[in-house]
Amino acid sequence: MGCEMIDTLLQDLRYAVRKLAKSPGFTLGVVVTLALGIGANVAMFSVVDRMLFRPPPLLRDPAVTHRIYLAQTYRGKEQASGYLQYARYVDLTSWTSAFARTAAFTEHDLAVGVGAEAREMRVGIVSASFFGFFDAPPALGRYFTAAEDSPPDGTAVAVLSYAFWKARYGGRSEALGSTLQIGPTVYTIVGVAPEGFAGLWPVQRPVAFIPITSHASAHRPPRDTWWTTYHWMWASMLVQRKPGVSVAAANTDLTNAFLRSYAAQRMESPGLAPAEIARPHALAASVLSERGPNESDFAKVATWVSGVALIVLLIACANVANLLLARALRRRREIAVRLALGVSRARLLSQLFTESVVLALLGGLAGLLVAEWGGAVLRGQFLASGSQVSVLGDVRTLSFGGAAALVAGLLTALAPALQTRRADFAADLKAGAREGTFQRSRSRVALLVLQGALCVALLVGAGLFVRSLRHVRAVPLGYDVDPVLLVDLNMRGVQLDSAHGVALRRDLLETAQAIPEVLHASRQLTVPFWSTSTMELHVAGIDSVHRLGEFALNAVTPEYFATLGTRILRGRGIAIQDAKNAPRAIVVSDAMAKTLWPGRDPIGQCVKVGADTLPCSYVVGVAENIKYQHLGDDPGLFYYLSEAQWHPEQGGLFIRTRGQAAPYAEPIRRRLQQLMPGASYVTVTPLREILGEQTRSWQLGATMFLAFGGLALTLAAIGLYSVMAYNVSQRTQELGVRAALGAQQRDLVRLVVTEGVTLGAAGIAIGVVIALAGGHLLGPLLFEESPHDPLVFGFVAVVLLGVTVLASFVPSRRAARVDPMVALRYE
Amino acid sequence: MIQLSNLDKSISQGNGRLFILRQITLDIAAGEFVSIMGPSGAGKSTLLAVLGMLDGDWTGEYRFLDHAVHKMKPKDRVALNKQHIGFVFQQYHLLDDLTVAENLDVPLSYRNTKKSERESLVADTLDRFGIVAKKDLFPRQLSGGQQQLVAVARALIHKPSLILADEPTGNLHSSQGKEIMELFTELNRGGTTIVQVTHSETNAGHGKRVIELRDGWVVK
Repeated sequence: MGCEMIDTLLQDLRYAVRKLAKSPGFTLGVVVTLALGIGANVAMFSVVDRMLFRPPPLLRDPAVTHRIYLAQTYRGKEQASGYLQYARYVDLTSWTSAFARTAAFTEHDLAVGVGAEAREMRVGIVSASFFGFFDAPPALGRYFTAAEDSPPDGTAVAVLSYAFWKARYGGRSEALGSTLQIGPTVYTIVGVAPEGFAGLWPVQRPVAFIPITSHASAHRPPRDTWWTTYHWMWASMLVQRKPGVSVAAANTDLTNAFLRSYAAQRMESPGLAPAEIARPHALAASVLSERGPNESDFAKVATWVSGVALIVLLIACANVANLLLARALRRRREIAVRLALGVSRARLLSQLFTESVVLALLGGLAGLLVAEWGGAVLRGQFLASGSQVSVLGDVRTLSFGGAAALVAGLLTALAPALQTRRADFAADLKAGAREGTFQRSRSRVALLVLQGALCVALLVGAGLFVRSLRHVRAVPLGYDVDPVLLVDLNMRGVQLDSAHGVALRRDLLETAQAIPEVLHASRQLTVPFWSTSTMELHVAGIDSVHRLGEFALNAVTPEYFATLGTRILRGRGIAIQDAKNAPRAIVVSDAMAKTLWPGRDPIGQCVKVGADTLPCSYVVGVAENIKYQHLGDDPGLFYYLSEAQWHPEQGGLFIRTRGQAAPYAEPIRRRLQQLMPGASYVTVTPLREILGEQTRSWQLGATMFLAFGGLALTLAAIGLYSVMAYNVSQRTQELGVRAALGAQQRDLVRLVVTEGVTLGAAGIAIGVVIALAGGHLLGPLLFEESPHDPLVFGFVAVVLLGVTVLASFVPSRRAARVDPMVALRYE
Repeated sequence: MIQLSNLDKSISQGNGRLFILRQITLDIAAGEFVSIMGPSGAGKSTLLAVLGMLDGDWTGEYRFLDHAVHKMKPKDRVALNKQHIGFVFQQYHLLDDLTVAENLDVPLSYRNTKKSERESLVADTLDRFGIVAKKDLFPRQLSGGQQQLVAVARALIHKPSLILADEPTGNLHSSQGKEIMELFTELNRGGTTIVQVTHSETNAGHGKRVIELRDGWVVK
């Protein structure tokens, strides 16, 4: 029995291959259509799998391993963060009992190496207990111990990644015991991680792992007791549940420990909101950060784009199903004869399915190539640049591709299989010589309408994202972006005292101002969307300023407002007279002025920055509001201090150039680098790049939806064209009769185009309903754009209608040229 | 009504030409009932197609109601055809997706007839041919004779002055064929010129004149 089934299958396979080889054009068309649909899905899977599903390689027990998030309520809104203080990590480790192990970790790009060989590379910064989470014994040497990871300084030892060890050290064991500068510190190499080990970062793999305490001590001010205080939130926490402990129980245990730690923090910072208001609680979430409570817009867009790719596959399948259905209709008489000769319907269906599956598998193979090459663009957008992701070398992705091809094969065979079941073969046998005479097929019409509907849904999504992007770009930031460069200093362990730090920055500023292409240059302490600084504020007559909101600051030099283009609305900006020993000056944003002194003149008001006992800073001007944390609803509570009066030894520069700043970045960097002492260096970044990160999710959404929407539209147009062309070829006789009865060319053209437009209109109507219904799901990803924007819907309807007319017009021209005499002799 | 003078129709075949109609010269007066007969391949259906202006690839002279068809542009021939000629096909050639009433409406829809007038004409024709009860049926629901009856009704609905019928009873039972021929006779009595192609002597007997074709030539 088993042998018979295999024989039958092989026979079906041979027959299917022979039939497909006889129609190479048809086969190629189907394979290309499916390749595009399957390839798009495989490419998106390779992204989404890594973002949302695939655990880090070699992780011991993914099911019981969690990343910790701490949530608090601030101004009535709960906010969760995956970052915590080292002291908090110690507290949670000490005061919980639900976990078999805990670890602290973070990752940074640090300068690795010295001199010309120095490059910024990803480095894993982990506690000694981190390695215990993985089933990854070192390939060489050892991991660092708890003793080497003890605060305050830890020990300068490092573990290299396998790939870096092979590349930099040629895989030689002599690497052990040698030194390597990472950031400001020279580390001794004590071990090499095994091949494939990447910690929690399989996409952008670290080149080395260093103790968390050694990194902290190198990057904090000398007297900062970072390991016992709660002001620096910089690390994350990993935990592994004990056997038998549920997630709920773990969360309770964590929350109790967090409450205790919060109480300890309040003793150090009495201004902190009480626990009853802040409601601190902790939760153990997925190891993958994109599945935690702070899922990035990127991940949301990636999920949506996966849905879009699926729709493209459905459209491709509908296209192919239509083509297969047309073939089945043409073969009605052949099938009727086979049935009359005794073949069973099951056997017939088996042949149909085999043919579809063969086509789909060919399409799947081609799709893998599409995903490997074309998908590189997708992976570059969603995953970090330099990520090493391959489709062809990954078993999970290949399996997904195979499954997608199989499903596509079954889906595309469904319509012709149903047609075979429904047909009246007795009538088909009696049809005489009129094999393949035109017969309207409801299935084909339904598939076509479905394609149109799905297309509309995709294109509406694209339109909404494009409009969101336009809105984002039109947001008034309160400063100029394109002509501005950010200069950031990386001291790399070079220790400068305060005076030298001030002098260096003064020299950098003066040098920048002397460059001919530079219009203005200014010092800054903070950068919008990049770094924020907040201090306690005290204003007479206001009980608790921090209840009114979060007030952020910048410390600047007099040319700041000209450099950034932020307007002074009243009074003046920071000026040269706001020197070190002069009365303290402060410029406030318009929103801050209205918040602190509603209805009153803010000029001359007193603000005490940092503590109530400090001297007043007097308001000398009001500046326009700026966006520095959110492009949307940003409260704009911002103020400016004179850099001479506030930490002149810290911060970097802003530079304003003539025209676009980007081309000047490298020449300015080289010029300023000459002033940097020792191994320290400057980075010069166009402000547009920094802002670009904020708009990237909308940019991505617009690009991806447009690309896939365009692909879907092309597939739908091809589908419509093929159906209309097929219809015209099958209706030659009818068209000839109409011509003989008096129809002119324009009548025949109108007949065909009207039919196409009717199908298109039906698809548009259904698509609009789908898009309206699904709009609320897309809404949160849009920016100041209604998911029901009539302009977008109208434009999409017009575009699809136009494409429908075009796809119908070409076959209609053929219809118009039908010779009645040829048509009437057609049979 | 119809005057043909030295009309030739040929198709290219290899290095030479194959003549389907040769030097056809004939006159047909208004109100005549003429039968065109001859063996298979004589060119009967082709001659009918030329007369009906469905085939424009010929040489010679053709005058129809004093219009020099041989000098007319294809668009003008179509307009002339639409105004004066009705064609009945051997295979009926009804449109399968349209009902009987809709089939009757098709020629009117191509002749700029107002909708109300079209509805009235269709209703009159259904009544005239006794097929009111069948107006909502599709061709596949009718017998051969009924289909041919509808085809004849469709050819007549716009009141042409000339009916061209290509083997109108070729696919019908003898009694059905008799009904159709009696209908033609009645129409001819009413003034309609009828030219039919037929193999049947009985059918030819309904007409007043026979034109015999052999190998593309008119022999009688």
